[in-house]
Amino acid sequence: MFDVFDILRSGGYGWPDGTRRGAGRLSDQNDSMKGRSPPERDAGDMIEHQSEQHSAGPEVNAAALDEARLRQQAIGVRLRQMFDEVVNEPVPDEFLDILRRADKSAENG
Amino acid sequence: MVDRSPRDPALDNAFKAEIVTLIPHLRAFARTLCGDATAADDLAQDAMMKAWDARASFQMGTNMKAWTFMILRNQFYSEKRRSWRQSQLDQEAAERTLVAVDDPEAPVALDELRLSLGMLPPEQREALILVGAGGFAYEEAAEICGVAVGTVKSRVSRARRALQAILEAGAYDRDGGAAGDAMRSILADAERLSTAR
Repeated sequence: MFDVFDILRSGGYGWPDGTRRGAGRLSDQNDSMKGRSPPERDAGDMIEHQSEQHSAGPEVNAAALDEARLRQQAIGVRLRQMFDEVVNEPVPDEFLDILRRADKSAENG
Repeated sequence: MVDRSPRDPALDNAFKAEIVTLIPHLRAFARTLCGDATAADDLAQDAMMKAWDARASFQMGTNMKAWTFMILRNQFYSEKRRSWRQSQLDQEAAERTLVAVDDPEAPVALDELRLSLGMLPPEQREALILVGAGGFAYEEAAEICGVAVGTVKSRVSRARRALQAILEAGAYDRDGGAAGDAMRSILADAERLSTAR
């Protein structure tokens, strides 16, 4: 007998792993596909962006890049945290009730 | 068009098993689009049912997360077109949503981040959420939004810069709190995270 609660309890495919450091396994898969973690991508984008704007000495550029990188990474962390906060909320029963009704309806043809 | 032909129960069960794991992600994405938690859950439920009704057209083993996010997004904009007054981001509703943080250690800056996100153009906000929080590749986000990959990259880039500028200037609507508090709090938290590794 299929039970959606079993899936929820087992923490199936794509379910968050309980840590606060990422958006779950799907995120990890996608990141590995691209070969770079999200902070690295952020940093890369900022380097590209900043290098167009700064013409001061290399030390000033490096410091500005570090600062920009840190800020973008920090915002990225918070963004994922904000999203994961909702992901980690218990799923309201309504969702599962709707699926159960749909399942019964399908069984009855 | 919905296929009403008889389905293999095992396929239906597999489909349902997978979609159940995606409900939390659909709720989170809907929350970022709607702002209001109740409206977001209604949207996520509608999207889930649309996905269920269209399950015959989904090929198991392909990316169900991207597929369901696309359904949810289309549903959101379809409803918005029908009744823009209901689905337009309502600042009051957004503020009600902000009190949902029960964790006493949850950083205050998340509220500012939500408010700042609400100030971004919708197309930039959804691109940033999909790539920056939803875990999608640029290519997947482009498919979900129905635009070119370069457009998504550009939207994400502009959203990042705009968000940082809003946070640094303290330009979001807030109840007290000096400008720059949110950014300082975010940086302090990021430092704690990096030293904890």
